[in-house]
Amino acid sequence: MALTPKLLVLLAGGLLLAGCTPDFARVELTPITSPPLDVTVSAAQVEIPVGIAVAVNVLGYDEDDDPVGNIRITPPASITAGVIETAEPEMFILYGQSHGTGSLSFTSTEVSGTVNVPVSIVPQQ
Amino acid sequence: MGPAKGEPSGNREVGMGEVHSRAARYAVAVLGAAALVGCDKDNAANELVGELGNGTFTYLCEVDSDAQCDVGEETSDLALTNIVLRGRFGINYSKTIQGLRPASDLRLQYDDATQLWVGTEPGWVGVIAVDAGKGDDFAHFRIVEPAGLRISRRETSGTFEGSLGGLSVSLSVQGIITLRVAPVNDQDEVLAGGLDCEWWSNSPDVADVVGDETDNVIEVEAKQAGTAIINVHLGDLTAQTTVEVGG
Repeated sequence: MALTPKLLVLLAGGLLLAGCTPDFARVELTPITSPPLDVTVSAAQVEIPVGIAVAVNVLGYDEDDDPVGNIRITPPASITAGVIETAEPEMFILYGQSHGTGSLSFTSTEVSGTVNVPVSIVPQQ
Repeated sequence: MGPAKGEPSGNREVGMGEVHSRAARYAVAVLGAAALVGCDKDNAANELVGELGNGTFTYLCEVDSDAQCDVGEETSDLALTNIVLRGRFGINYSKTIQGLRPASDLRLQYDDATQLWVGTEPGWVGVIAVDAGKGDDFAHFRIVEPAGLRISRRETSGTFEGSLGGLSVSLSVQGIITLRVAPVNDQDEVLAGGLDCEWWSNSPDVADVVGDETDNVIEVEAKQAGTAIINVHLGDLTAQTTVEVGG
């Protein structure tokens, strides 16, 4: 089927609109419990000793700095860091399963894109 | 799945709904605010409030050799979160949930056969209460390498003579003394958790062990004048006490 000028305009408009949708840009992570050993929880890095669990509040924002909901966290493929959601939609429990490094991948069903936060599971001192 | 059941941990994707902060609702962890409410084998109830404040974790003595629950008056000396390495114990959660998950099964494992938890590495380990795939609460326990064993006298019958420092006991013939062994940390604090236990006498004709030799509390009966050494294995440690039996 030949593309008519009207169809081309619609197609271009659709692509333009899609291009304007802001992507997932950043997260804010705040620890809300105090484990018996020190942990580091921030958007720049998460560091948790093996065996330690910490509850974390997660806020997500798009490129326009608008809040983003329905966030998902995917732990590293290797069994190092564990993640489990809670009944509170913005709160997750992060825990160190075994020594290693990787990334926590934050995504949202509301916007496209992924925010990765480096995670290290370190030995207990 | 019962409240004290373990479940394998693993990586998976989890989701979250609309984001809005309610962090203020949550108190800072209340670890260490354990409430000692008495402890014996039938009603061992040392409670640890979960760090999210949603539930309470209860330590359960499930093994006869668990020194946590021998003597009620000694429970005030016990630190609830200190559990001996390789000691067996139970955990209950105050709500009906799907199960309990260790933060790391390299440090704490659940034995389906015995339905008991076993600490496998010294250090802290979190236990997460999971319900319908979501974390309801969690608490941390401390697994401790024992520094030694402490033998003490619980009570006597018959004629008891002399003093006890945990090392030497004097008895008259036909006297009976009750001995207790417990694993302790480097602060001489009793550690919770049941370990394999075995008592024996090197001279059973002088003084012999009677009762359940796998219990950490045992009776020693004096048979005739002489000296006997009562030995005990508890986990990987061994201790001795000398019993002198008078005429």
